[in-house]
Amino acid sequence: MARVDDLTLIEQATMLAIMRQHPSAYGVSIRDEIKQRTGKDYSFGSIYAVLERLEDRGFIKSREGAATAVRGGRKKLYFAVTGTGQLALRASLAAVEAMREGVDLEGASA
Amino acid sequence: MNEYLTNFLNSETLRYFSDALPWVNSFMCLAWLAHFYTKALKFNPNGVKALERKITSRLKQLFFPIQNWRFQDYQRLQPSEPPCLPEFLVGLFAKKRYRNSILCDLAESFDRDLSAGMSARRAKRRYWAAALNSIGPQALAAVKRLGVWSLLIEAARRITE
Repeated sequence: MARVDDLTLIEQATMLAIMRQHPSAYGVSIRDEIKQRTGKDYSFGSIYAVLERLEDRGFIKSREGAATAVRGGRKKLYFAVTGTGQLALRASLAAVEAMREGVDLEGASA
Repeated sequence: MNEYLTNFLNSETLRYFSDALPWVNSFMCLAWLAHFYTKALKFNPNGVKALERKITSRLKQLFFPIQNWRFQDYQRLQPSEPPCLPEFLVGLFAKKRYRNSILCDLAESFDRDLSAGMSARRAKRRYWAAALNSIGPQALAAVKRLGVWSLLIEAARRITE
């Protein structure tokens, strides 16, 4: 079995948000995507700490975009998931799926 | 005599009167205006009243914007900038590569709040909250990256640069 690179929930969510927003995923859009889909409101500090971790591990890469007037002429930093990142994400999600398989979640009635 | 005059010119009493002179002048002007107004009212009451109405309406026209002036309007007209202290604090711990990006994202969020019709004061409070929430994770990441001592040295370097 291939080695599963451990990804935390926020790392998984961030990588999935980047893939959903591709090719224009940057800090604000990633945070909004996570908030919209999971209801969790992470701070920019948390998001960038995760992005830094993922980039150090080679799971994502960043590139500077063109300067926009909205941001006072400053450049956006766009993120994209690398091939290695996609493999790690797939393995991580598969591990969660494997653990979940056959377990009935009854919620409040349990 | 000459000495007496010099002493008088340098005396505190004369200085007191010379300081009070503009006030005395103003008072005399007002008294003269009041006297003139009373005389004019006796001579031509309808004409004076008409002149009063004319002057009042002219003054109202002139000061209409000030009359309806509210502090909220003034605040709304001012171009709002994000507060600089939280910017500085966030920039202190953020990785150099991401520093500008985090600050820009915070500023974009601030602008979005303002465009949504939020007051500048509330938008600034939200900016403070977002910035303070961002400091913790960034500081922790910096500690992991650099270690405590290196982090302190790096922070000191950024403050002094």
